[in-house]
Amino acid sequence: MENLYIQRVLNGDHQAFSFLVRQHQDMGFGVAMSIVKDHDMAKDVVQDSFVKVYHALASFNQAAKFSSWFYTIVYRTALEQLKKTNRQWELEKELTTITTETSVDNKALEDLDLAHLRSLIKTTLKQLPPKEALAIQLFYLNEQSIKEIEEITKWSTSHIKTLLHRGRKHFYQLIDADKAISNFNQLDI
Amino acid sequence: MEDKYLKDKLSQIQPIYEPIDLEESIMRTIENHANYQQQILKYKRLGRISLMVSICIFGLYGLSLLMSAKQITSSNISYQIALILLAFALIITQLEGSRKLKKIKL
Repeated sequence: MENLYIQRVLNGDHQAFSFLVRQHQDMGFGVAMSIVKDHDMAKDVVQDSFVKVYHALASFNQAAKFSSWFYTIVYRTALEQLKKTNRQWELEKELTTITTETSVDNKALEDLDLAHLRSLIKTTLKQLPPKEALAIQLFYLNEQSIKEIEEITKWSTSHIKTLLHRGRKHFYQLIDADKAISNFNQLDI
Repeated sequence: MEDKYLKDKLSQIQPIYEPIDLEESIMRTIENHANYQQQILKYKRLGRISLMVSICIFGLYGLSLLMSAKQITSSNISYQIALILLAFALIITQLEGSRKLKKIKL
């Protein structure tokens, strides 16, 4: 389906490109957000990425997955954007909010309603170090395989697995912390 | 390694972020880029034409200079000055054109 629209754009039908924009803008935004951590900057990154995609569409290998190619461009554009604004790509930044190791309770999300869970995950992704947030975003939300993440980021498989493991751990810890705070607030002192 | 539970849970709450709508601005940017490309082509065409014209004028000027080298009168001096001014005007026009072209490319 996507290839049909790509072919139409290549044949000069510019409007067909809007299908690709509608299809991928939200996922691209998630990828950009996990790196730049700023709503407006992430929107700029997605916009710039689509313009780059449009101009480079002829070089896209249609046997490959369009989304992976697009996320690669979003990833690189986000890094360029960070460079421009002199902000550092915080490579190995550790979470300072977590001081103690808590056990990974993967049922921690069970009691939360979806709206609260959505806002919690959004906040948590914002607090996670960019690399971990990006790995979580690509793997769990954008449903990219480890191999695809490897192609997008040029990280090694073992590094991606480590980031996912650490990301998950941080993720659950932040959710546990949030639960502890809300339980504390509910205490009738 | 894959946390199925987390994956299922996250797929339930998609999209995480408020949906964005960049379609209009992206399409407008792409359209502007296409217009810039057309303008660049137009300037290139104009540049080529003015280059040809200035080559012709310089050729004519060279010929007339050779022909009038023997008899210097006030009329052919003013004619030569006019030709020199015309050649300069053309060069300046070309330089302006290329400056605009650079701005568009940026």
